[in-house]
Amino acid sequence: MRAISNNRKALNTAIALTLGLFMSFPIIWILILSFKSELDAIGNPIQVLLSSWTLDSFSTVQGRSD
Amino acid sequence: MMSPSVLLLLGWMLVPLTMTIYFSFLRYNLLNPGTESFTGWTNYYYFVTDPSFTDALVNTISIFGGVLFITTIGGIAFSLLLDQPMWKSGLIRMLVIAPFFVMPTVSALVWKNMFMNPVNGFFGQIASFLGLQPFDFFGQAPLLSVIWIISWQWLPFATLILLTALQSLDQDQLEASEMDGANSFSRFIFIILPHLARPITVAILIQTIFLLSIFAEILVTTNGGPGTATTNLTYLIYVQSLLQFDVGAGSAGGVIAIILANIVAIFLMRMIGKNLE
Repeated sequence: MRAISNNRKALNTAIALTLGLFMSFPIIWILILSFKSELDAIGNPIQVLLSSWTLDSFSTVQGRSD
Repeated sequence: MMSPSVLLLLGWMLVPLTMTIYFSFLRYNLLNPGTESFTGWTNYYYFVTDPSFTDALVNTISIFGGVLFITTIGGIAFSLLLDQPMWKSGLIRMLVIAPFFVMPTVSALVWKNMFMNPVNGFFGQIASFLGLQPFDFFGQAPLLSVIWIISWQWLPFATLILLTALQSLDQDQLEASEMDGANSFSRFIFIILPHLARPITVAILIQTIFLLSIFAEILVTTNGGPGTATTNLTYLIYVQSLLQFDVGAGSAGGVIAIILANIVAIFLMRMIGKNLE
């Protein structure tokens, strides 16, 4: 095996991590939205991240199953 | 001959197929129960001369070709990137492959409501935040949006198969070619791509099975519309048999779809099947 410089490894990791986040972004995004209230979730992305976190959606869904 | 597995296979495949062919020759409308009668080729004539049939055919091929193109090219690029030495490669691979494990209905709903919706969606919000006109994805480019969603699901699959193939590539070959002075481009063309020929074939053939029968993404996002812009053959059969209650025409469409799928399969095997020998 050839020796691979740490710089090269760091560059590879950065590119691949960007790609990975890009591909799984919708999944990460719905995970974030699931902890927001319905009104906050449809705002613009910066407001969504700044708004308060809540577990309301989960209890609503749990309530519907009864 | 009639072992249990053969009986199971008969029950599973032959009975539904025979009943579909039988229904396709019947005048069988759910709105007029009890009036089933033999009509010959009327259902086939009706289905083929339906103005949406040509659109459905073109859309089926467009979705099939478009998604295969994106996933094959993208899969090669992604797998080459993920094969490079890096830190936390397990985590990054999981991130890239994650979309494949989301159910088609769920991913179509997520894209439709949370990303492509012109008012509430992520892209719409960013566009209006920047002062641009939000783009109505399913109104302006419905077919491309559907292709995008399906590609998002199937890109990880192609990446996964090609990545495992790349990991089995002998590193000594690459090093030897490097000592002989081959640059990275000719190494890709003459060593990596021939090595990937078989897994690419497998990925394309497996995807063919699923891409010709895409249904959930279309039902959930556009309902085949606007007009017939995203109606594919599967969706047209659904419209005929369950929305217009004409089971006979739907069955005729099913038989036509089987024939077309076999034509596609023959062409595919002619083109790329020699890789599997």
